[in-house]
Amino acid sequence: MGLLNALLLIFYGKLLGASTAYVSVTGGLMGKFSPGFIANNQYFSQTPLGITFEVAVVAGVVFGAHLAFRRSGSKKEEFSDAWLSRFGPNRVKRYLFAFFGGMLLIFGARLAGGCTSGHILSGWAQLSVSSLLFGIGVFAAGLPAARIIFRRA
Amino acid sequence: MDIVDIVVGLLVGAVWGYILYKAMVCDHGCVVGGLSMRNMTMLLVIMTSVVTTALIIYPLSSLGMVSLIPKPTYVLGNLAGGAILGIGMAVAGYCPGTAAASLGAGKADALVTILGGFVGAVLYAVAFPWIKPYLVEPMAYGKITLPGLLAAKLGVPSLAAALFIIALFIAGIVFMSRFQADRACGVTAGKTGSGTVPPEGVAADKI
Repeated sequence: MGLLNALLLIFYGKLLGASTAYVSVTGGLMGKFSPGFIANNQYFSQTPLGITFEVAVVAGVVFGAHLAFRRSGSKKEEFSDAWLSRFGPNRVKRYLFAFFGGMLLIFGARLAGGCTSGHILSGWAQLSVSSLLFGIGVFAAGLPAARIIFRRA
Repeated sequence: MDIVDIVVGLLVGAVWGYILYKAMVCDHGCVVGGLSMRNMTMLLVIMTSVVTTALIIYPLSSLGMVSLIPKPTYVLGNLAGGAILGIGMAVAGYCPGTAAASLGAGKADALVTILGGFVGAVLYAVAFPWIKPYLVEPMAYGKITLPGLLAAKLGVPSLAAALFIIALFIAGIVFMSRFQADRACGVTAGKTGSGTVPPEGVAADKI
């Protein structure tokens, strides 16, 4: 993964990232249905929308992971063991958490300007100050959150 | 919509997704273990990747062969956004990238996470004009790197500063590996076989 990112920067001038793709896809879709909203929205207007490089990367990720999954011959898991042992098999609960968590992920990522890939994998590798700060934020809140939500009995 | 961008993107993404799955960081237990610092697998994967990339690009950058593209620093937004994302990771068990990889592995909750992510994107776009003056504009220093900052403020040569920081990261990796002992990520020993980080996991994050 480290080598991939380095080669990407050297030969293509870009680095791995994922959260901008979420904005590009959403903005691109919304643009088809209500272009006025997009044009009037400051954030969507300043972000590349539609099918961008990063959108292609994220699409590729889905495909590549699928390939690895098929080749590994694993059975598809419904929910991870960690979740099951803490919260049980209730699907609604899991999906609520997942949905809400997803909202926080992207809201937080866009506020910070990147996510775990864009800021940490790519940003820490460049020793970028914004990314180091991001990392501090992630653990300052993520560590207590993880421990509280998944507290051991 | 540049076709080269799309083709390169798909290929790079496919390799990345393959690695993400192999490195086993697509599991909720793995993510929570990493955030709570009880299980170092995710952190080791990330840091090995970071160090590998840094060791390649920093020397090349100081030779002028590569341009770094750091993200802009705006202290409050970087910190607050990180915090919000960190909580999201604990709650969802994914990050925006591993959610996509897990979708490829057929996990329905990954799809739900991604849908929530789309809503989050819209919410942010709507809230942006209100947030901007408080969290994005203040304490904005541009696209700075730590070695660059140290060079400017203390006169330390930036490559030396960079290598020093990278050495600290490596020390962190060594420390975390010792701490990791024999715990695999999020799954019982029966499933993965051995207890330590699988060798293909460590190799995956270097690649």
